[in-house]
Parts: sequence; structure tokens; C-alpha cells
Amino acid sequence: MTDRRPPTSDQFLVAWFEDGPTRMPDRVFDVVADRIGRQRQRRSWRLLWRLQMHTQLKLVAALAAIVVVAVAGYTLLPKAAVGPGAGPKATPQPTVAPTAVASPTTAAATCDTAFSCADGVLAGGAHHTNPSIDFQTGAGGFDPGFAFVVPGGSVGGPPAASWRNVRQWIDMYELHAPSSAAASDFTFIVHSLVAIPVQNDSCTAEMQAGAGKAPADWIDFLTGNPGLVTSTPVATTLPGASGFTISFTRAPDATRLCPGSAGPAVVVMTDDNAAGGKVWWVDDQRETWTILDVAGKTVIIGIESDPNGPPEDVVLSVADPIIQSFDFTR
Amino acid sequence: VVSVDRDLIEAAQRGDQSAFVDLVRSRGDRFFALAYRILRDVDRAEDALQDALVIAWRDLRSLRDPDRFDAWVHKVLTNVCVAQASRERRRIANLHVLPIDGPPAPDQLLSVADRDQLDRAFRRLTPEERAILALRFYLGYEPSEIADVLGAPAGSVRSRLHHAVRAMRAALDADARSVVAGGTVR
Repeated sequence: MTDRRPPTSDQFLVAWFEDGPTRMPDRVFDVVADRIGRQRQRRSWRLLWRLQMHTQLKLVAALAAIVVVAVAGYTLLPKAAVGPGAGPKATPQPTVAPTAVASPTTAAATCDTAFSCADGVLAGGAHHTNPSIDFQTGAGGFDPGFAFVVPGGSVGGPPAASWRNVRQWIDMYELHAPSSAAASDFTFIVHSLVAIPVQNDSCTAEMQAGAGKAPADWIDFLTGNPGLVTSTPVATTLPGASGFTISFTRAPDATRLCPGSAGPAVVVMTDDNAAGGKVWWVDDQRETWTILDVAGKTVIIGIESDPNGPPEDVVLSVADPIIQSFDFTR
Repeated sequence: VVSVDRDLIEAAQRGDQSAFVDLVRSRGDRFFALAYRILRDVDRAEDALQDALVIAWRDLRSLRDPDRFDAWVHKVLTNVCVAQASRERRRIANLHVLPIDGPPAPDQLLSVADRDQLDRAFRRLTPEERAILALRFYLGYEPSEIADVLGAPAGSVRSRLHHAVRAMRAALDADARSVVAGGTVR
């Protein structure tokens, strides 16, 4: 690369940016080669065509598109079911029964070193949070630990084709859906050591004085928050845990901003330890939270998805079997 | 862009997947390096680069000048990274890093501490500011070029660049003070 960088007094920034990987992993190449094989190129006149199209034409085009999609779907479905090359786009099979949770001993094989968990590709079946590793602090693992089951993915293929754990900290465990999932653009983020927040002007970590920690207290906080649109809470029971499930998005008339937020933002979570500094807000995402009491500790299983993406019931059709497999007794 | 590459770009614009793959093969390292510099996370850089390259393939016919291919992909990639960093940012506004245990050699401790301070300061910047810094200090883009990449006024880019550099320098200065004072590096 031609070095065009400025000879400034900020050489420390040049040196700092110089640190880090410079080689693209081969798996990125493999994924891109695979994905462009399934991605048609847009025609350059598409935008102009869209702008000029009359309403009546839109209706005709929409009907035509439905026919095309239906025909394409009919054509592709049998291939996805039986074709040897169907891997990354195959419909996931989230049908593993919760009772199939294996013992942590089995799961520990996937979490016995920092790097196997950091890579995070999970084979279909039972897993367990690593009890000894927090990749941020080097201290203990997610507290309280839990077992869970994921459907089969494409382990051995590109990471994005499989369920994968990308964060494992003492207070946060993050699980990404495979790109092949029916509603792939969502993320599990399990939180602990949480507290009900106050939204201050700079959106920094601040607990609400005197607020309770029980799931019912969280439900009161969320449903009573004028900045949120919430669903009706539903009672939820899992092995070793009980609480409620609720969905919410930012209210259309919310106006307060947070630094770097995508439009107005509503702060919905902070640490139970102000020094931690975690602040969680809702701006343009949809959150579905299962708020649980686990032997006196509050755990939130959060599902973050795009309200303009797949409908919530489609997201939950993939996510719910995994939530139902969570087991805090192991 | 040399003529061979121009041929590849034009072939890819006509739908030749192998030509696009060849382009990715020859440029992937540079694109990945940029994504990592903005996101500071290998997994997220991989995800962002995959998405950006698929978008680039999808929209390649809208690129009128093949000589602008690299700059155009930088634009697509930077915007994907900024979007991803925005999602990440609302999750963790302030990461905290534990002190480094043990007394390694003084020079090494300072170097590690410097990097740690810069890393933390970088994560506190807005996604756009992170992208501006990476484009400026890693790729050497001028503010007017950065403005083109981000679709923002050049004046705004200069202002944000100034703020971001000041924030990074302040983090380094604060670290130096804590070391001089014998305080714990957090």
C-alpha cells in the first residue's frame, strides 16, 4: 500500500493503527465466494425505476414479485432439503428437545480453552457457559452459569454459518444466530449483574435509587416507561429460574438522545455496580427480554432484532426453542 | 487501478463471479485491515467485510468509473463498519479493563498501558469518529476524501477529526500522569 499517512505530531496514532492483523482470514474469502453465488447483481437503473414507478405499476410489480418468489421458492426448496451443497442456506432445525441437554461434562469439551470459546463456533447440541473464563477481565465466567441447546449448524464451514458465542464475560454472554437461520439478523445477549437505570443527560451508568431487582420490578419499570412501547408480559418458568417475557421498542414520540445513538434512545439497563459502566439503550432495535430470578440473582435473556426485519414471531420461532432449553440448575 | 484490474472490474460488472473473486483475492487483506481498525475486533471485522463485499458485488453495476473501485469499496465497507459499531456501541457504552497484574519491565508496562488507554478511548468515540481516525491515520485519507466516504460535509469531518484526536491524546496524557503518580492503571 502506498503510504499517504500524514507526518504529524500524532505519530502515536499512526503507530497504534499499525498494530493489528493485516491479513484477511481465508474463511472470509470462502464465505464471500459462496454468498455472491446466491446474490444477484442489481441493475443500475433500478433506483430510477423505483422513483418513477406509479402506484398502479407498483401493485402489478408486487404481484409479479410474489409470483416470482413463489416459483423460485418452489424450485429451490427441494434442493435445500437434499442437495449436498445446500449447507449454508439450509433451513435450521430448531427442534432439539430441551430434555436433550447434555451434562456440562459433555459441553465442557467446547469450552475447555479460551480460544475454543472465543472462536465460538458451536456444534448442534448442548453447551455450557465456561465457568472459569471471562475474556474481558480474565476472571470467572458468566454468573450464574447455564446450559443450553442450539440446533445443528455448519460447523467446519464459515463461522457465520453456525451458532457462535462471540462474548463471554462475567455479566454478558452473547450468542449469534447463523446466517442461514430463517431470521438470522438477531442476537442473544444474556445479562447478569444488572440494575434498573436512570436516564441522565449523558446516558452514563446510573442506578435508580431504591429500585428493586426482582423480575416484577423490571416489568414495572419497562411497562411504566413512557419512552417504550411494550407487549403484555408473559410468565415464564425455566429449570432453576422463573420470571416474565416482554418485548419492547422505542416509543415513536421519544426524543432524548444518547451519544452515538441511532436517533432517540431510551436507557433500559445498567450494572448493579456503577463502576462497571455498562449502559444499554433502545434506539432502533426491538428487544425481547426474558427476565428471570435465578436463586436471587437477576438474569435477562435478551433477543435483539430489527423491527424492520423479520416479524417478531419469525424471530421467536428460531429463538424460543433455545430459550426453552436454558437450564440454570446444571 | 492497472488495466488488468480494470478488466476484472468490468468483467465483474457484467456478472463474472470469478473476476470479482479475483478482485477480492488481491485486495482482501487491505479491506480487512481497514475493517479491523474501525471495529477493533476480528470477528466483527470479518462479519463486516463479508457483508460489505456482498453489497459491493450486488451494487457493482452502479460503479461508473472502474478506477474508483477501491475508494468505492472503502466507502461501502466503512459504512457497514459504522453501522455495526453503532449496534455494538449501544450495548456497551463504557468498557472497563482491569489493571495489569505483576510488575513487568517498565518500558513494556508503559507500552501495554498506552495501547490499553488508546483502545479504551477509541471505544468511547462515536462510530463515525472511529472511522474518521482509521481513514485518516491508517489509510492517509484527506478530510475531503473522508467526507466523500461518509457522505458528510468536509467541515464536519475536520471538526470531528479534531475532537477525536484530542480525545485520544488526552487518554495518553492521562495514562502518563497516572504512571508518574504511581496510580493504578484502570
